[in-house]
Amino acid sequence: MSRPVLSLRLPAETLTRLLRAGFRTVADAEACLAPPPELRLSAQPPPARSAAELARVLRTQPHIATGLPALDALLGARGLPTGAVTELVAHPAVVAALCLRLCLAAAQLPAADASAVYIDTTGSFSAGAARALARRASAAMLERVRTFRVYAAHELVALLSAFDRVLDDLPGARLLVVNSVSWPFLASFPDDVLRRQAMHAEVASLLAGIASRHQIAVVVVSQPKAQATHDPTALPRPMDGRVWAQIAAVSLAVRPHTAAAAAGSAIAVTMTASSLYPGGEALVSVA
Amino acid sequence: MPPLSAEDRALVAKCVAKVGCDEAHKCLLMPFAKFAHATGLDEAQARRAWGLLGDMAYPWKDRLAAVPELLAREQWITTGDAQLDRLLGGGIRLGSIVEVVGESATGKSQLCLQLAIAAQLPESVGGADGDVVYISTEGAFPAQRLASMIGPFVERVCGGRCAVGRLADVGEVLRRIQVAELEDMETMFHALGYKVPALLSSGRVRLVIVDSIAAHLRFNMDGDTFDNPRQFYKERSSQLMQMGAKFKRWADEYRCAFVCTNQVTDIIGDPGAGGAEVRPLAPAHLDRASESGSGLSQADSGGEFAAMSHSRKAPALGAVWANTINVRVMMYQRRGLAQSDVILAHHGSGTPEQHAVAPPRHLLRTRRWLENSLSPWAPRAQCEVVLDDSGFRHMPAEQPGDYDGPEAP
Repeated sequence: MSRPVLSLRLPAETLTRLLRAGFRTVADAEACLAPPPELRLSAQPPPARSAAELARVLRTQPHIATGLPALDALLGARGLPTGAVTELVAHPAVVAALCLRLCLAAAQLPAADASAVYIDTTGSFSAGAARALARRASAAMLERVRTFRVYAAHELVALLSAFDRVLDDLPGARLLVVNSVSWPFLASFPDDVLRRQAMHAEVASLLAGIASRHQIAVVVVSQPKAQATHDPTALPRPMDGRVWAQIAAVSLAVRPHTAAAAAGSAIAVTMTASSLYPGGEALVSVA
Repeated sequence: MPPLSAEDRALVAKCVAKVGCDEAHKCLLMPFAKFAHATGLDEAQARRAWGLLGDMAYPWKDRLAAVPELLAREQWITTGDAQLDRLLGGGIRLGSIVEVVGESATGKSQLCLQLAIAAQLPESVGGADGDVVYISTEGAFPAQRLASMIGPFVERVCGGRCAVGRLADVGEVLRRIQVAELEDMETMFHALGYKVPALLSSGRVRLVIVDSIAAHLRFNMDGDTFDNPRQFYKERSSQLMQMGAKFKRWADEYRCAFVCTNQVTDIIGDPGAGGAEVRPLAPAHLDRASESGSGLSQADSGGEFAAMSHSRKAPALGAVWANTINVRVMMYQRRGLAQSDVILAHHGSGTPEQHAVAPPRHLLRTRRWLENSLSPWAPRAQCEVVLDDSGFRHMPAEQPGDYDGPEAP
């Protein structure tokens, strides 16, 4: 049997703390001091690039014009940035029409095989609503919006891990929308916040990788948390915390617009964080 | 997905065993670095194993669907009224979760009964030609009300378009509705977890109604079991999320819609400025009038709208349930004043004094509104409705203020 902690010649306070922490014998403590697993470097680190080159890349990066003037104005008059992640903090139903509009905008890009991928985790995707939004668009354009229906966290992880192969099949895809990214983890780990957070970090790095490797625009919808007041004009705050904002180039908080004069489908978009744009607010009508 | 080679199968089995999960897909629910460390494989092998597990968990090639393909599969259940269908973007979509929320006696159960009949109608008139599961948690199932509504409702919806006689057979309609009356929370979760999927597995159910989902979650939870309110809410949120996740999966797998009724809770404190003002839904034949600038708010209901925050109420069950549903329908009612009541009115502009007058005509009768408060496929809007013996239908726009038609109590 290993030597008991109490027999060590240490100050009394230290012994009390060791006992309180659950160490009864020296062997318990040694187990904790095992060397950490080796860090595995999965690939060669990328070559260093000058700031001038990065600035040039940012300036010449293609954007996806959303077709909604107020939103495009908010996004530097150009539209959604490609090669970067955009976070929308909103209830999935509030931004469902906006996400459809973004998919249609991507499908209408001048490239021959331009398409968009929509990952639906909450059941808010309706093909009928997509067709109504597209109005006079041809069936060929609707064909370019592809969807995946995902129910649980492991399915989302599997799909995003395999996304390189998905994009091999859809070479012209310019946009990936995930509506919403919070729900699968809520559904799979309703009690375990720490597990959710660990998986969020993993999926966040997968999404950031997809955006930068393939130079596509990635839009994630993260769900809002409960507000202390029932004020509908309060900005929704993300229930997952800052994990999606940390990988996103733009974070937009979206809520339904409440003025009586506004059209029923108007949403108020507030830029809460961005590394690319100065910020601001816009009233967008996604009719 | 092509079957795995023996070598791949061995690799996957080894990984699952090393990681110690009871199911293969659970190996994906950890960071990749942790998976690689647990299996002790090198980078390339770990990636390969991860990819194989991913393909088994979600064969994405089979699940990719384009919009036209989904269009063919999409189906809606009518509410029985064309205007209300427009309000909701087509009706109740199969595969979605719809919440109906309102104060007591606003007609939530009545709307559910109406949908229960509509779901059984043939697809040619907007029904889904399916069975219905009705879970009642607030008292007995209102069979009498349902029976009296069947004939007039079917007559209204079908008109001359199909043989009404067979459809209006009260016994047949009642037979296609499976009712469960659940008295407490445990029974409710048990039924929702086991009985409902058993009923759904027949493949004929197109609509599941839970009236109401909030009843046992708000008052019947045993207060002594929990040390503090935080634990109570945590437990409740967890159960609501699990239930919601199950509903979503079943809704897609069995091609049915879930309609859940919810209660309201009080707002403590200031609901905030600029409450939930929602534009009234434009009736189709008035669209031309609104283009010419005559203004819709004058044309119908005198520019009135209802808002839940005005009466300092909000839907119960919190943000967790709100994040689970797809569509939220709010129901409002304002009881009519009696002729003998008095209201205070200002003399005219500028003078602050008030004098007592008899209530004007449009305040004398009970008025009801239906609001599409949250929906992925229709904009927010309200519609004034009337309730008669054939159920809810939209207020005819010709005489909005003077409508004196029959109204069920």
